[in-house]
Amino acid sequence: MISAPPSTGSISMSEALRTVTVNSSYHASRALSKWFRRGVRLTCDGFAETPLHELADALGDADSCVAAIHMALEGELSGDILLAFPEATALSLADLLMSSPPGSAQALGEIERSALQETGNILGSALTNSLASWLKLDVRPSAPAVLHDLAGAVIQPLVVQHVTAADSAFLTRTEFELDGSKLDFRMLLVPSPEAMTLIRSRCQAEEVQANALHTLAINAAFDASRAMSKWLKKGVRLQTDGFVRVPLAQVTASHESDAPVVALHAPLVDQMHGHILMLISMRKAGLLVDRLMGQPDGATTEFNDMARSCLQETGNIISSAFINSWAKWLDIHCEPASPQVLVDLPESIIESALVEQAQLSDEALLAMTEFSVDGQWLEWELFVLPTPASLRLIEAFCA
Amino acid sequence: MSEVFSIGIAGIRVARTPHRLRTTLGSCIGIALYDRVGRVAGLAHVMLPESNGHKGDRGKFADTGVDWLLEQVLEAGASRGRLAAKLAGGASMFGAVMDNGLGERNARAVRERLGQHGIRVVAEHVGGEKGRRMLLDPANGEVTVQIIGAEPTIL
Repeated sequence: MISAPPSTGSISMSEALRTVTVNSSYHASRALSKWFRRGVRLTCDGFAETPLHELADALGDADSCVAAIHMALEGELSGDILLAFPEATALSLADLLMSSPPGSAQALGEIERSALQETGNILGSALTNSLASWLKLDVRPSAPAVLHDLAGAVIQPLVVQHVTAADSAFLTRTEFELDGSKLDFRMLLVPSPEAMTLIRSRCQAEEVQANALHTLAINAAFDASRAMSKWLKKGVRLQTDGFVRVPLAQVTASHESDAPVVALHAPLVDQMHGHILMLISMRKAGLLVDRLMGQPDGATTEFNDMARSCLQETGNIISSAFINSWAKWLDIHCEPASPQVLVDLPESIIESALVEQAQLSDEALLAMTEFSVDGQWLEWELFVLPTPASLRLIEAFCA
Repeated sequence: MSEVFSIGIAGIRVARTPHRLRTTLGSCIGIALYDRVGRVAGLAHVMLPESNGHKGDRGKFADTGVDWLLEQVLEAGASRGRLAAKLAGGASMFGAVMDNGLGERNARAVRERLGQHGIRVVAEHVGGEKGRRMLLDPANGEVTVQIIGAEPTIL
Protein backbone atom coordinates (compact mmCIF):
# COMPACT_ATOMS: atom_id res chain seq x y z
CA MET A 1 0.00 0.00 0.00
CA ILE A 2 1.26 3.42 -0.83
CA SER A 3 1.51 5.46 2.31
CA ALA A 4 0.29 9.00 2.14
CA PRO A 5 2.76 11.82 1.92
CA PRO A 6 3.78 13.84 3.65
CA SER A 7 5.13 10.74 5.34
CA THR A 8 6.73 10.64 8.70
CA GLY A 9 10.47 10.49 8.69
CA SER A 10 13.49 12.43 9.67
CA ILE A 11 15.91 14.40 7.61
CA SER A 12 19.14 15.99 8.66
CA MET A 13 19.22 19.51 10.08
CA SER A 14 20.95 20.87 6.98
CA GLU A 15 18.29 19.26 4.77
CA ALA A 16 15.53 20.70 6.94
CA LEU A 17 17.10 24.16 6.79
CA ARG A 18 17.46 23.79 3.06
CA THR A 19 13.84 22.70 2.75
CA VAL A 20 12.69 25.78 4.59
CA THR A 21 14.81 28.22 2.59
CA VAL A 22 14.07 26.61 -0.78
CA ASN A 23 10.34 26.90 -0.13
CA SER A 24 10.64 30.49 1.01
CA SER A 25 12.72 31.41 -2.05
CA TYR A 26 10.02 29.86 -4.17
CA HIS A 27 7.37 32.09 -2.60
CA ALA A 28 9.60 35.13 -2.97
CA SER A 29 10.16 34.23 -6.66
CA ARG A 30 6.42 34.19 -7.21
CA ALA A 31 5.97 37.57 -5.56
CA LEU A 32 8.83 39.15 -7.49
CA SER A 33 7.70 37.66 -10.81
CA LYS A 34 4.31 39.31 -10.32
CA TRP A 35 5.94 42.61 -9.41
CA PHE A 36 8.32 42.62 -12.41
CA ARG A 37 5.80 40.90 -14.71
CA ARG A 38 8.75 38.79 -15.80
CA GLY A 39 10.04 35.38 -14.90
CA VAL A 40 12.19 35.83 -11.81
CA ARG A 41 13.77 32.89 -10.06
CA LEU A 42 15.53 32.92 -6.71
CA THR A 43 17.86 30.17 -5.63
CA CYS A 44 19.07 29.64 -2.15
CA ASP A 45 20.95 26.73 -0.69
CA GLY A 46 20.05 27.08 2.95
CA PHE A 47 21.73 28.69 5.89
CA ALA A 48 25.52 28.70 5.88
CA GLU A 49 27.78 29.48 8.77
CA THR A 50 30.10 32.18 7.47
CA PRO A 51 33.35 33.11 9.24
CA LEU A 52 33.80 36.73 10.26
CA HIS A 53 36.59 37.40 7.78
CA GLU A 54 34.40 36.38 4.85
CA LEU A 55 31.41 38.48 5.83
CA ALA A 56 32.78 41.73 4.42
CA ASP A 57 32.72 40.25 0.92
CA ALA A 58 29.29 38.63 1.25
CA LEU A 59 27.79 41.29 -1.02
CA GLY A 60 30.60 41.05 -3.56
CA ASP A 61 33.70 43.22 -3.71
CA ALA A 62 33.69 45.21 -0.46
CA ASP A 63 35.04 48.31 -2.28
CA SER A 64 32.32 48.40 -4.94
CA CYS A 65 29.52 50.93 -4.78
CA VAL A 66 26.07 49.39 -4.36
CA ALA A 67 22.47 50.41 -3.95
CA ALA A 68 21.08 48.43 -1.05
CA ILE A 69 17.74 48.00 0.61
CA HIS A 70 17.77 47.13 4.27
CA MET A 71 14.90 45.76 6.32
CA ALA A 72 15.25 45.06 10.01
CA LEU A 73 13.27 42.06 11.26
CA GLU A 74 11.64 42.14 14.65
CA GLY A 75 9.86 39.45 16.62
CA GLU A 76 10.97 35.86 17.16
CA LEU A 77 12.57 35.73 13.70
CA SER A 78 14.70 38.79 14.40
CA GLY A 79 17.59 39.79 12.18
CA ASP A 80 18.18 41.65 8.94
CA ILE A 81 17.53 41.39 5.25
CA LEU A 82 19.80 43.18 2.84
CA LEU A 83 19.21 43.32 -0.88
CA ALA A 84 22.04 44.89 -2.87
CA PHE A 85 22.90 45.51 -6.49
CA PRO A 86 25.41 47.59 -8.46
CA GLU A 87 24.34 51.15 -9.20
CA ALA A 88 23.82 50.46 -12.93
CA THR A 89 21.52 47.52 -12.12
CA ALA A 90 19.55 49.70 -9.70
CA LEU A 91 18.98 52.26 -12.46
CA SER A 92 17.89 49.66 -15.04
CA LEU A 93 15.59 48.13 -12.45
CA ALA A 94 14.00 51.53 -11.90
CA ASP A 95 13.47 51.83 -15.70
CA LEU A 96 11.88 48.39 -15.83
CA LEU A 97 9.51 49.12 -12.96
CA MET A 98 8.47 52.51 -14.33
CA SER A 99 8.11 51.14 -17.88
CA SER A 100 10.64 53.72 -19.09
CA PRO A 101 12.99 53.02 -22.01
CA PRO A 102 16.30 51.53 -20.85
CA GLY A 103 18.79 54.23 -19.89
CA SER A 104 16.13 56.74 -18.78
CA ALA A 105 17.07 56.72 -15.08
CA GLN A 106 20.39 58.53 -14.67
CA ALA A 107 20.67 58.89 -10.92
CA LEU A 108 19.09 57.46 -7.79
CA GLY A 109 16.56 60.22 -7.28
CA GLU A 110 13.45 60.08 -5.16
CA ILE A 111 11.34 58.15 -7.71
CA GLU A 112 14.08 55.59 -8.33
CA ARG A 113 14.60 55.09 -4.61
CA SER A 114 10.91 54.60 -4.11
CA ALA A 115 10.82 51.88 -6.83
CA LEU A 116 13.76 50.10 -5.19
CA GLN A 117 12.19 50.43 -1.75
CA GLU A 118 9.01 48.76 -2.98
CA THR A 119 11.03 45.94 -4.58
CA GLY A 120 12.78 45.33 -1.26
CA ASN A 121 9.48 45.44 0.54
CA ILE A 122 7.82 42.86 -1.73
CA LEU A 123 10.79 40.54 -1.74
CA GLY A 124 11.59 40.80 1.95
CA SER A 125 7.97 40.38 3.02
CA ALA A 126 7.39 37.34 0.79
CA LEU A 127 10.55 35.69 2.06
CA THR A 128 10.06 36.38 5.75
CA ASN A 129 6.33 35.64 5.73
CA SER A 130 6.98 32.28 4.14
CA LEU A 131 9.80 31.49 6.56
CA ALA A 132 7.72 32.59 9.51
CA SER A 133 4.75 30.52 8.44
CA TRP A 134 6.85 27.38 7.90
CA LEU A 135 8.65 27.77 11.17
CA LYS A 136 5.65 29.09 13.09
CA LEU A 137 7.64 32.07 14.25
CA ASP A 138 6.43 35.61 14.62
CA VAL A 139 8.16 38.25 12.46
CA ARG A 140 7.60 41.94 11.77
CA PRO A 141 9.70 43.42 8.96
CA SER A 142 10.42 47.14 9.29
CA ALA A 143 9.93 49.65 6.47
CA PRO A 144 12.76 49.27 3.95
CA ALA A 145 15.55 51.85 3.86
CA VAL A 146 17.58 52.53 0.71
CA LEU A 147 21.35 52.92 1.14
CA HIS A 148 23.84 53.98 -1.48
CA ASP A 149 27.33 53.13 -0.34
CA LEU A 150 30.27 50.73 -0.46
CA ALA A 151 29.31 47.05 -0.21
CA GLY A 152 31.69 46.48 2.70
CA ALA A 153 30.28 49.46 4.56
CA VAL A 154 26.65 48.52 4.05
CA ILE A 155 27.06 45.09 5.58
CA GLN A 156 29.14 46.07 8.59
CA PRO A 157 26.41 47.32 10.93
CA LEU A 158 24.48 44.09 10.39
CA VAL A 159 27.42 41.88 11.08
CA VAL A 160 28.63 43.71 14.14
CA GLN A 161 25.49 43.07 16.13
CA HIS A 162 25.48 39.37 15.26
CA VAL A 163 29.08 38.48 15.96
CA THR A 164 29.58 39.96 19.38
CA ALA A 165 29.30 36.51 20.87
CA ALA A 166 30.76 34.47 18.03
CA ASP A 167 33.34 34.52 15.26
CA SER A 168 30.82 33.66 12.59
CA ALA A 169 27.25 34.37 11.52
CA PHE A 170 24.55 32.27 9.86
CA LEU A 171 23.25 33.70 6.68
CA THR A 172 21.49 32.71 3.50
CA ARG A 173 22.74 33.96 0.16
CA THR A 174 20.19 34.14 -2.59
CA GLU A 175 20.87 34.42 -6.29
CA PHE A 176 18.49 35.82 -8.89
CA GLU A 177 17.68 35.05 -12.47
CA LEU A 178 15.50 37.06 -14.83
CA ASP A 179 14.24 35.21 -17.91
CA GLY A 180 16.98 32.63 -17.42
CA SER A 181 19.90 35.08 -17.17
CA LYS A 182 21.72 35.65 -13.93
CA LEU A 183 21.02 39.04 -12.34
CA ASP A 184 23.65 40.76 -10.26
CA PHE A 185 21.33 41.06 -7.27
CA ARG A 186 22.53 39.76 -3.96
CA MET A 187 20.40 39.16 -0.96
CA LEU A 188 21.40 38.22 2.53
CA LEU A 189 19.17 37.08 5.31
CA VAL A 190 21.01 37.31 8.59
CA PRO A 191 19.02 35.96 11.55
CA SER A 192 20.10 37.02 15.02
CA PRO A 193 21.78 34.27 17.09
CA GLU A 194 18.56 33.96 19.14
CA ALA A 195 16.47 33.57 15.98
CA MET A 196 18.92 31.00 14.61
CA THR A 197 18.48 28.91 17.76
CA LEU A 198 14.71 29.06 17.29
CA ILE A 199 14.98 28.20 13.58
CA ARG A 200 17.07 25.14 14.40
CA SER A 201 14.65 23.97 17.04
CA ARG A 202 11.62 24.45 14.73
CA CYS A 203 13.38 22.51 11.97
CA GLN A 204 13.14 19.45 14.18
CA ALA A 205 9.35 19.75 14.15
CA GLU A 206 7.55 16.92 12.43
CA GLU A 207 5.86 19.12 9.86
CA VAL A 208 9.11 20.47 8.48
CA GLN A 209 10.61 17.00 8.45
CA ALA A 210 7.61 15.60 6.64
CA ASN A 211 7.78 18.13 3.88
CA ALA A 212 10.91 16.71 2.31
CA LEU A 213 8.83 15.08 -0.41
CA HIS A 214 7.06 18.33 -1.16
CA THR A 215 10.38 20.13 -1.42
CA LEU A 216 11.67 17.53 -3.82
CA ALA A 217 8.89 18.41 -6.26
CA ILE A 218 9.42 22.14 -5.79
CA ASN A 219 13.14 21.84 -6.38
CA ALA A 220 12.55 19.90 -9.55
CA ALA A 221 10.13 22.57 -10.78
CA PHE A 222 12.80 25.18 -10.03
CA ASP A 223 15.43 23.35 -12.03
CA ALA A 224 13.00 22.73 -14.88
CA SER A 225 12.03 26.42 -15.01
CA ARG A 226 15.68 27.33 -15.37
CA ALA A 227 16.14 24.86 -18.24
CA MET A 228 12.95 26.03 -19.95
CA SER A 229 13.90 29.71 -19.61
CA LYS A 230 17.19 29.02 -21.36
CA TRP A 231 15.52 26.94 -24.07
CA LEU A 232 12.77 29.45 -24.84
CA LYS A 233 14.91 32.51 -24.09
CA LYS A 234 11.97 33.77 -22.04
CA GLY A 235 11.26 33.92 -18.34
CA VAL A 236 9.42 30.68 -17.70
CA ARG A 237 8.05 30.16 -14.24
CA LEU A 238 6.74 26.86 -12.97
CA GLN A 239 4.33 26.53 -10.12
CA THR A 240 3.68 23.37 -8.21
CA ASP A 241 2.00 22.42 -4.98
CA GLY A 242 4.26 19.40 -4.74
CA PHE A 243 2.74 15.93 -4.43
CA VAL A 244 -0.99 15.68 -3.96
CA ARG A 245 -3.23 12.68 -3.47
CA VAL A 246 -6.30 12.65 -5.69
CA PRO A 247 -9.10 10.06 -5.90
CA LEU A 248 -8.87 8.26 -9.26
CA ALA A 249 -12.31 9.43 -10.38
CA GLN A 250 -11.30 13.05 -9.88
CA VAL A 251 -7.90 13.05 -11.58
CA THR A 252 -9.36 13.82 -14.98
CA ALA A 253 -12.30 15.87 -13.70
CA SER A 254 -10.74 19.17 -14.78
CA HIS A 255 -10.04 17.79 -18.24
CA GLU A 256 -13.57 17.03 -19.34
CA SER A 257 -13.43 18.73 -22.66
CA ASP A 258 -13.90 17.73 -26.22
CA ALA A 259 -10.65 19.39 -27.23
CA PRO A 260 -7.68 17.17 -27.97
CA VAL A 261 -4.30 18.22 -26.62
CA VAL A 262 -0.70 17.67 -27.53
CA ALA A 263 0.94 15.38 -24.99
CA LEU A 264 4.62 14.70 -24.46
CA HIS A 265 5.02 11.42 -22.68
CA ALA A 266 8.30 10.15 -21.28
CA PRO A 267 8.49 6.91 -19.30
CA LEU A 268 10.95 6.89 -16.41
CA VAL A 269 13.51 4.12 -16.51
CA ASP A 270 16.46 2.89 -14.44
CA GLN A 271 16.09 3.20 -10.66
CA MET A 272 12.84 5.13 -10.79
CA HIS A 273 9.80 4.16 -12.82
CA GLY A 274 6.67 6.00 -13.79
CA HIS A 275 5.56 8.64 -16.21
CA ILE A 276 6.27 12.24 -16.99
CA LEU A 277 3.40 13.69 -18.93
CA MET A 278 3.18 17.18 -20.35
CA LEU A 279 -0.11 18.38 -21.80
CA ILE A 280 -0.27 21.47 -24.00
CA SER A 281 -3.36 22.88 -25.69
CA MET A 282 -3.22 22.53 -29.48
CA ARG A 283 -3.10 26.29 -29.93
CA LYS A 284 -0.25 26.81 -27.48
CA ALA A 285 1.68 23.87 -28.90
CA GLY A 286 1.41 25.48 -32.34
CA LEU A 287 2.65 28.80 -30.93
CA LEU A 288 5.52 27.04 -29.18
CA VAL A 289 6.61 25.48 -32.47
CA ASP A 290 6.31 28.89 -34.19
CA ARG A 291 8.55 30.50 -31.57
CA LEU A 292 11.13 27.73 -31.71
CA MET A 293 11.22 27.79 -35.51
CA GLY A 294 11.31 31.60 -35.69
CA GLN A 295 8.03 31.66 -37.63
CA PRO A 296 5.19 34.17 -37.30
CA ASP A 297 2.53 33.20 -34.73
CA GLY A 298 -0.10 30.94 -36.25
CA ALA A 299 2.17 29.53 -38.97
CA THR A 300 1.99 25.99 -37.54
CA THR A 301 -1.30 24.47 -38.60
CA GLU A 302 -0.41 20.80 -38.37
CA PHE A 303 1.96 18.73 -36.29
CA ASN A 304 4.26 17.38 -38.98
CA ASP A 305 7.63 15.73 -38.33
CA MET A 306 9.42 19.06 -37.87
CA ALA A 307 6.82 20.36 -35.41
CA ARG A 308 6.84 17.08 -33.52
CA SER A 309 10.60 17.19 -33.28
CA CYS A 310 10.46 20.73 -31.78
CA LEU A 311 7.89 19.57 -29.21
CA GLN A 312 9.84 16.43 -28.48
CA GLU A 313 12.97 18.44 -27.73
CA THR A 314 10.97 20.69 -25.39
CA GLY A 315 9.65 17.60 -23.60
CA ASN A 316 13.15 16.23 -23.43
CA ILE A 317 14.55 19.37 -21.81
CA ILE A 318 11.84 19.66 -19.24
CA SER A 319 11.66 16.00 -18.26
CA SER A 320 15.46 15.75 -18.04
CA ALA A 321 15.59 18.79 -15.77
CA PHE A 322 12.94 17.28 -13.48
CA ILE A 323 14.51 13.88 -13.33
CA ASN A 324 18.07 15.08 -12.94
CA SER A 325 16.95 17.21 -10.03
CA TRP A 326 15.21 14.24 -8.39
CA ALA A 327 18.09 11.90 -9.04
CA LYS A 328 20.50 14.36 -7.46
CA TRP A 329 18.40 14.73 -4.32
CA LEU A 330 17.65 11.04 -4.00
CA ASP A 331 21.14 9.96 -5.03
CA ILE A 332 19.83 7.52 -7.63
CA HIS A 333 20.25 6.91 -11.33
CA CYS A 334 17.25 7.77 -13.39
CA GLU A 335 16.90 8.81 -16.98
CA PRO A 336 13.76 9.78 -18.81
CA ALA A 337 13.46 8.01 -22.15
CA SER A 338 12.97 10.19 -25.20
CA PRO A 339 9.43 11.61 -25.09
CA GLN A 340 6.79 10.59 -27.60
CA VAL A 341 4.34 13.11 -29.00
CA LEU A 342 0.63 12.22 -28.87
CA VAL A 343 -2.32 14.23 -30.09
CA ASP A 344 -5.35 12.89 -28.28
CA LEU A 345 -7.97 13.48 -25.59
CA PRO A 346 -6.40 14.57 -22.28
CA GLU A 347 -8.54 12.18 -20.23
CA SER A 348 -7.46 9.18 -22.32
CA ILE A 349 -3.80 10.08 -21.91
CA ILE A 350 -3.84 10.77 -18.17
CA GLU A 351 -5.88 7.65 -17.49
CA SER A 352 -3.30 5.45 -19.19
CA ALA A 353 -0.50 6.89 -17.03
CA LEU A 354 -2.41 6.07 -13.83
CA VAL A 355 -2.61 2.34 -14.34
CA GLU A 356 0.35 1.27 -12.19
CA GLN A 357 -0.76 3.31 -9.21
CA ALA A 358 -4.36 2.16 -9.59
CA GLN A 359 -3.28 -1.43 -9.02
CA LEU A 360 -2.51 -0.63 -5.39
CA SER A 361 -4.63 2.34 -4.49
CA ASP A 362 -7.92 4.06 -5.25
CA GLU A 363 -6.06 7.34 -5.24
CA ALA A 364 -3.31 8.71 -7.44
CA LEU A 365 -0.28 10.44 -6.04
CA LEU A 366 1.00 12.98 -8.47
CA ALA A 367 2.89 16.21 -8.72
CA MET A 368 1.31 18.67 -11.12
CA THR A 369 3.10 21.73 -12.40
CA GLU A 370 1.73 24.71 -14.27
CA PHE A 371 3.70 27.17 -16.39
CA SER A 372 3.77 30.89 -17.01
CA VAL A 373 5.86 33.07 -19.29
CA ASP A 374 6.35 36.70 -18.39
CA GLY A 375 3.51 36.50 -15.89
CA GLN A 376 1.02 34.95 -18.34
CA TRP A 377 -0.24 31.48 -17.55
CA LEU A 378 0.23 29.01 -20.36
CA GLU A 379 -2.17 26.22 -21.16
CA TRP A 380 0.53 23.73 -20.16
CA GLU A 381 0.47 21.15 -17.42
CA LEU A 382 3.08 18.69 -16.37
CA PHE A 383 2.33 15.55 -14.38
CA VAL A 384 4.89 13.39 -12.61
CA LEU A 385 3.47 9.98 -11.75
CA PRO A 386 5.91 7.59 -10.07
CA THR A 387 5.00 3.91 -9.85
CA PRO A 388 4.27 2.47 -6.38
CA ALA A 389 7.74 0.90 -6.17
CA SER A 390 9.38 4.22 -7.01
CA LEU A 391 7.21 5.97 -4.47
CA ARG A 392 8.56 3.64 -1.82
CA LEU A 393 12.06 4.55 -2.94
CA ILE A 394 11.31 8.25 -2.57
CA GLU A 395 9.68 7.70 0.79
CA ALA A 396 12.63 5.65 1.98
CA PHE A 397 14.83 8.63 1.23
CA CYS A 398 12.51 10.96 3.05
CA ALA A 399 12.38 8.61 6.05
CA MET B 1 -34.85 17.89 -20.07
CA SER B 2 -32.24 15.57 -21.46
CA GLU B 3 -28.87 15.52 -19.70
CA VAL B 4 -25.53 13.89 -20.46
CA PHE B 5 -23.89 12.45 -17.35
CA SER B 6 -20.09 12.12 -17.35
CA ILE B 7 -18.37 9.14 -15.79
CA GLY B 8 -14.79 9.36 -14.52
CA ILE B 9 -12.18 6.66 -14.01
CA ALA B 10 -13.64 3.69 -12.08
CA GLY B 11 -17.07 5.31 -12.20
CA ILE B 12 -20.40 3.56 -12.82
CA ARG B 13 -23.73 5.18 -13.53
CA VAL B 14 -27.18 4.15 -14.68
CA ALA B 15 -29.55 6.35 -16.71
CA ARG B 16 -33.00 6.15 -18.28
CA THR B 17 -34.12 7.79 -21.45
CA PRO B 18 -34.01 10.74 -22.27
CA HIS B 19 -30.71 11.10 -20.41
CA ARG B 20 -27.43 9.82 -21.84
CA LEU B 21 -24.08 8.70 -20.41
CA ARG B 22 -20.58 9.53 -21.57
CA THR B 23 -16.99 8.76 -20.73
CA THR B 24 -13.52 9.20 -22.22
CA LEU B 25 -11.24 6.20 -22.52
CA GLY B 26 -7.59 5.39 -23.07
CA SER B 27 -6.45 1.94 -21.98
CA CYS B 28 -9.60 1.57 -19.85
CA ILE B 29 -12.73 -0.17 -21.09
CA GLY B 30 -16.14 1.45 -21.23
CA ILE B 31 -18.87 -1.16 -20.68
CA ALA B 32 -22.34 -0.24 -21.90
CA LEU B 33 -25.05 -2.53 -20.51
CA TYR B 34 -28.60 -1.84 -21.69
CA ASP B 35 -32.14 -3.08 -21.89
CA ARG B 36 -33.51 -1.71 -25.16
CA VAL B 37 -37.13 -2.40 -24.24
CA GLY B 38 -36.91 -1.10 -20.69
CA ARG B 39 -34.96 1.92 -22.01
CA VAL B 40 -32.51 1.73 -19.14
CA ALA B 41 -28.75 1.51 -19.44
CA GLY B 42 -25.56 1.65 -17.38
CA LEU B 43 -22.02 2.62 -18.22
CA ALA B 44 -18.88 1.55 -16.36
CA HIS B 45 -15.29 2.74 -16.83
CA VAL B 46 -12.99 -0.07 -15.68
CA MET B 47 -9.26 0.27 -15.51
CA LEU B 48 -7.66 -3.07 -14.63
CA PRO B 49 -8.49 -6.72 -15.42
CA GLU B 50 -8.47 -8.46 -12.01
CA SER B 51 -9.43 -7.30 -8.53
CA ASN B 52 -7.55 -10.19 -6.88
CA GLY B 53 -9.55 -9.70 -3.71
CA HIS B 54 -9.00 -5.93 -3.58
CA LYS B 55 -11.61 -4.44 -1.25
CA GLY B 56 -11.51 -0.86 -2.50
CA ASP B 57 -13.23 0.75 -5.43
CA ARG B 58 -15.30 -1.94 -7.21
CA GLY B 59 -15.61 0.12 -10.38
CA LYS B 60 -11.87 -0.04 -10.99
CA PHE B 61 -11.61 -3.70 -12.03
CA ALA B 62 -13.19 -5.66 -14.86
CA ASP B 63 -14.54 -8.50 -12.65
CA THR B 64 -15.99 -6.43 -9.80
CA GLY B 65 -16.95 -3.60 -12.18
CA VAL B 66 -19.11 -5.88 -14.36
CA ASP B 67 -20.80 -7.35 -11.26
CA TRP B 68 -21.52 -3.93 -9.82
CA LEU B 69 -22.78 -2.54 -13.13
CA LEU B 70 -25.11 -5.51 -13.50
CA GLU B 71 -26.50 -5.01 -9.97
CA GLN B 72 -27.12 -1.34 -10.67
CA VAL B 73 -28.84 -1.88 -14.00
CA LEU B 74 -31.10 -4.63 -12.60
CA GLU B 75 -31.94 -2.46 -9.60
CA ALA B 76 -32.97 0.30 -12.01
CA GLY B 77 -35.54 -2.04 -13.57
CA ALA B 78 -33.74 -3.72 -16.48
CA SER B 79 -34.72 -7.25 -17.40
CA ARG B 80 -31.81 -9.67 -17.15
CA GLY B 81 -32.91 -11.65 -20.20
CA ARG B 82 -32.93 -8.57 -22.42
CA LEU B 83 -29.52 -7.22 -21.39
CA ALA B 84 -26.84 -6.76 -24.03
CA ALA B 85 -23.38 -5.20 -23.80
CA LYS B 86 -21.20 -3.03 -26.02
CA LEU B 87 -17.55 -2.27 -25.31
CA ALA B 88 -15.14 0.50 -26.27
CA GLY B 89 -11.59 1.54 -25.27
CA GLY B 90 -8.60 -0.65 -24.49
CA ALA B 91 -6.07 1.40 -26.46
CA SER B 92 -2.31 1.20 -25.96
CA MET B 93 -1.79 4.95 -25.59
CA PHE B 94 1.96 4.72 -25.00
CA GLY B 95 2.53 1.66 -27.18
CA ALA B 96 1.82 -1.99 -26.41
CA VAL B 97 5.36 -2.65 -25.10
CA MET B 98 5.04 0.08 -22.49
CA ASP B 99 1.68 -1.05 -21.10
CA ASN B 100 2.19 -4.77 -21.56
CA GLY B 101 -0.97 -5.16 -23.65
CA LEU B 102 -3.17 -3.85 -20.83
CA GLY B 103 -5.98 -2.65 -23.11
CA GLU B 104 -6.43 -6.09 -24.65
CA ARG B 105 -6.20 -7.81 -21.24
CA ASN B 106 -8.87 -5.44 -19.93
CA ALA B 107 -11.16 -6.20 -22.88
CA ARG B 108 -10.67 -9.97 -22.49
CA ALA B 109 -11.41 -9.82 -18.75
CA VAL B 110 -14.62 -7.85 -19.38
CA ARG B 111 -15.80 -10.28 -22.09
CA GLU B 112 -15.12 -13.25 -19.80
CA ARG B 113 -17.02 -11.78 -16.86
CA LEU B 114 -19.98 -10.78 -18.99
CA GLY B 115 -19.94 -14.32 -20.44
CA GLN B 116 -20.07 -15.77 -16.92
CA HIS B 117 -23.27 -13.76 -16.37
CA GLY B 118 -24.66 -14.94 -19.70
CA ILE B 119 -24.60 -11.47 -21.24
CA ARG B 120 -23.83 -11.15 -24.95
CA VAL B 121 -21.35 -8.58 -26.25
CA VAL B 122 -23.13 -7.41 -29.39
CA ALA B 123 -20.58 -4.86 -30.56
CA GLU B 124 -17.20 -3.54 -29.62
CA HIS B 125 -14.67 -0.93 -30.68
CA VAL B 126 -11.43 -1.76 -28.83
CA GLY B 127 -7.66 -1.69 -29.32
CA GLY B 128 -5.47 0.62 -31.38
CA GLU B 129 -3.39 3.46 -29.98
CA LYS B 130 -5.91 6.29 -29.80
CA GLY B 131 -8.23 7.53 -27.07
CA ARG B 132 -12.01 7.34 -27.47
CA ARG B 133 -15.04 9.31 -26.47
CA MET B 134 -17.99 7.02 -25.75
CA LEU B 135 -21.63 8.13 -25.60
CA LEU B 136 -24.46 5.76 -24.61
CA ASP B 137 -28.13 6.42 -25.32
CA PRO B 138 -30.49 4.29 -23.17
CA ALA B 139 -33.32 5.00 -25.62
CA ASN B 140 -32.03 2.35 -28.02
CA GLY B 141 -28.70 1.17 -26.59
CA GLU B 142 -26.87 3.05 -29.32
CA VAL B 143 -23.19 3.72 -28.53
CA THR B 144 -21.33 6.45 -30.40
CA VAL B 145 -17.56 6.11 -30.36
CA GLN B 146 -15.35 8.91 -31.53
CA ILE B 147 -11.63 8.90 -32.12
CA ILE B 148 -9.98 12.29 -32.64
CA GLY B 149 -9.63 13.06 -36.34
CA ALA B 150 -12.03 10.31 -37.43
CA GLU B 151 -15.75 10.14 -38.17
CA PRO B 152 -17.86 8.84 -35.24
CA THR B 153 -18.70 5.14 -35.30
CA ILE B 154 -22.15 3.99 -34.23
CA LEU B 155 -22.28 0.63 -32.43
